Amino acid sequence: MNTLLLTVQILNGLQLGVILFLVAAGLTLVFGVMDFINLAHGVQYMLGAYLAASLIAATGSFPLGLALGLLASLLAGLVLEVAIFRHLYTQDHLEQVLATFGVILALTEAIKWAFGAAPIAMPIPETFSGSVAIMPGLLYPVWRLVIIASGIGVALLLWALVTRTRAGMLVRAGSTHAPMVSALGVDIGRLFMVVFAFGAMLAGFAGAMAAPILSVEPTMGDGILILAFVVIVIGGIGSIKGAFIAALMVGLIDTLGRAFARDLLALVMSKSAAAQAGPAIASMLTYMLMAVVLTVRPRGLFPATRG
Amino acid sequence: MGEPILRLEALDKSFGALHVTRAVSLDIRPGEVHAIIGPNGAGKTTLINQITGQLTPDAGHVRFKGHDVTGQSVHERARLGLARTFQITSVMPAMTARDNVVLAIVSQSRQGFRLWPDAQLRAQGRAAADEALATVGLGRRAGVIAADLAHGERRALELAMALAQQPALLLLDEPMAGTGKGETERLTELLRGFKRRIPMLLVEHDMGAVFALADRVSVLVEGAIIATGSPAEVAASSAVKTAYLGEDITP
Amino acid sequence: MAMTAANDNNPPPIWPRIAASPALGWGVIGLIGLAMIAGAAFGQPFWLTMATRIAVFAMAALALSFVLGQGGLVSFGHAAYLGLGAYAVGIGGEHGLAEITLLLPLAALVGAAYAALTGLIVLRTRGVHFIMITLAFAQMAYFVFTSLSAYGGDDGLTLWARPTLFGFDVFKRDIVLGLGVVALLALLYGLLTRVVASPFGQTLQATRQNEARAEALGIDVFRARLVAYTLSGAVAALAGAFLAIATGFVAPAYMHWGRSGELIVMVVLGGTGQLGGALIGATVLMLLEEGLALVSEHWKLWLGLILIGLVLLRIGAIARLLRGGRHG
Repeated sequence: MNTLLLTVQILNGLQLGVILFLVAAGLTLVFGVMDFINLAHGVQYMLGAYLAASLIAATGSFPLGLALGLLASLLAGLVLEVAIFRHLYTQDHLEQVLATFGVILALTEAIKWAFGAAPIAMPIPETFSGSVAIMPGLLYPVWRLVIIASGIGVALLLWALVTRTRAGMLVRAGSTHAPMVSALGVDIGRLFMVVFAFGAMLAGFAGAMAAPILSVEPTMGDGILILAFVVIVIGGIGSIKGAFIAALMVGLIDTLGRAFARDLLALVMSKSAAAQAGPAIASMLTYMLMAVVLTVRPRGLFPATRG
Repeated sequence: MGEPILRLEALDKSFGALHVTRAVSLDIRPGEVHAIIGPNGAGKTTLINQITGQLTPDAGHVRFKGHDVTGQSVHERARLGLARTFQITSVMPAMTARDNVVLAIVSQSRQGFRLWPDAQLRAQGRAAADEALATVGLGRRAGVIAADLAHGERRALELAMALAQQPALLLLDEPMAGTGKGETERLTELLRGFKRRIPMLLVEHDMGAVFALADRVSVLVEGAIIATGSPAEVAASSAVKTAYLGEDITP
Repeated sequence: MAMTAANDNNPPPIWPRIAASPALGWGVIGLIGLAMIAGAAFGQPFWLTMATRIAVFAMAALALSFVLGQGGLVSFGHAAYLGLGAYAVGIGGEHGLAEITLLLPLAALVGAAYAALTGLIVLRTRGVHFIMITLAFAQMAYFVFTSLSAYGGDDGLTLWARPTLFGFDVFKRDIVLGLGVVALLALLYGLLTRVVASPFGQTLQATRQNEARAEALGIDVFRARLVAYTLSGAVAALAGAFLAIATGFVAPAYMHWGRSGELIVMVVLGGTGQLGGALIGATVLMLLEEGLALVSEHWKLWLGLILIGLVLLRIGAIARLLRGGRHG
């Protein structure tokens, strides 16, 4: 295991981490503020990728297409919120699971119908294609660096929004004292709607950013949803800070585990046994991390203060 | 006099900067009714939770029937014979009154993990449950779903469940809260009937009930016990009068 | 006991007795069996295959209903047990184990062990945490089998022969296998309805209805949940074993979280209050899926819309909308 390889894998891990953060941020807010379990959040990630890919293709311009794609993701979130989700906030979790499961089935199939089941391609924009030398002898794709940078940028922006603005204060207060916030004369229904749509847009942004390096396909939201759940459970439901730290942890552990588990295991067992066990153990690492965190802190690393 | 049933030794509990239990020591002797009174926010609920096991004290010990139970869980203490009622009545809402009491009996006799029905056991449980229900005046309501009982009836049901646990100590958390005057008197009368047989720790605001039932009274103010004595002694204490800021604590 | 008799003049209302009656469940099991026999008699192999699948998923839904309906534990990872039971048969078969009287206990044991082990962690959590952590542990099992290349990895394992019963090759005939599944379903349904009526059943319901009260009565809530969860894992794994035998194939896809979601849908469709509901729900959902697939290639779209509609209908959102009232 040499330094170059390690650096590459750490960067890859960070890149997965920020994508996870973008998805988990909306999920954890929706959970924290509305106590709403939204299984369909992964679908919004998938929608974001499709919307951006097709709008970029239609406009022929990356920035314009991306901006329109984000706007469309926001609108899709709004439509879903108004038509379905807002009726579910006060229901028990079982009803939420059922309805959002229905949304996954319906939207995944609708996309399959519209675009076909085969992956569609989204090119990397001209400006950011190619690689740069970030160390002597180490070329790294520019687009992945852009993903990392934009993810950290969004994290900073969110942090500023949540800690420095009145809306952010309401969101934080809403996650622990919803009745109090509505007593302040705030339209809690509208606050929920805005938070929800914003979360949907963040997930859509993640989908759009990941689209050029992944295949854009109808089921692409499934895996990311589960990892995002793991992230918000580790980070503490409702906590943006927790989501950020947990997302980077999960991104790094998952990536490094997949890259190095086999070689590390080969130090203590036979090569063929390590080749067998390596991938299996690597795929368990994130869940083991979650199990350990929950055993020590059942409410995650940075639990919101809801009783 | 005998070994005390319950002995609290210098219990201490803080939540962050908030010191809610300060070196609380008290004991309950066999057959005694010991009342804890105190203004709102004095830390009564926190103290109860440390006795029942929902909270672990930062320092100090809880001894129950001679065992140090400080580190034990709620259900372990319950099995040793610590029965309680809750400030907000707490029963199994979807079960009948009878099934609620049967549940208490079955759990107490450690049969609650039997995976197979047993007709004989069931008949015995029902008979004992009906007896306990009759004692608290619910004899004719045994088949009613608990959620459909009136508030006072649910309170009586909770008491029947606690009695069915054959308690070594009965912990009553504001049993008179939210009951009308007539009901308070009835409940006081009922509890008086168990005096000498079942030791009780009574946390109560209703001074009438306290004076009618308690052998000794401890006064909890800002997390610390400022006086313990007979009801008359406590009522006469100037420290207590100051703590209550002129509230009338005579019956 | 004269007093007891005198106090019995307030029997519980009639309807809970009907709702709690296991007769509905027995009816469904009977119908599934009849459909198999009819399929065999009229030379309709599809009926037989379909009825066998329904019986398998009814068994899995029954397992979930036990923890979800009775214990209030919304497990979103029950597909893992289905998969583990299937792999117990598949991997057992790879190593020459072909006797069903050994394979079924093995599957149940594997399911129970995974449930007990993960239960130690997941049962410390509540509500939304519980839902997500059961989901995560199921995904963990899913990914582990995806990367186990010795047993087919992503592609899965093919079972080349059906297991024997005491050395006899009786399951070669589909009807025998189908009726075998129904017989085990009936046995498990009978056992579990007895357990629900047992002291433990009452204990489990108590932990769902009022956890604080249950603790105060001396009930070890964690242990009660662990027992129920383990039992449920074993039963779901039995369903998985038969899924593998009936399809002749085992794959990680059996553990996919979508399947866990389907099991929840089955239990909720049929009603969580009684175990028999799971059997009805499983039958209805599978027939619905099959029916929609006949009509449209994109049946999942319609199924999703039906689910959303059902939930909105049930919680009164549609009624509110029709009245033109604002959601409040």
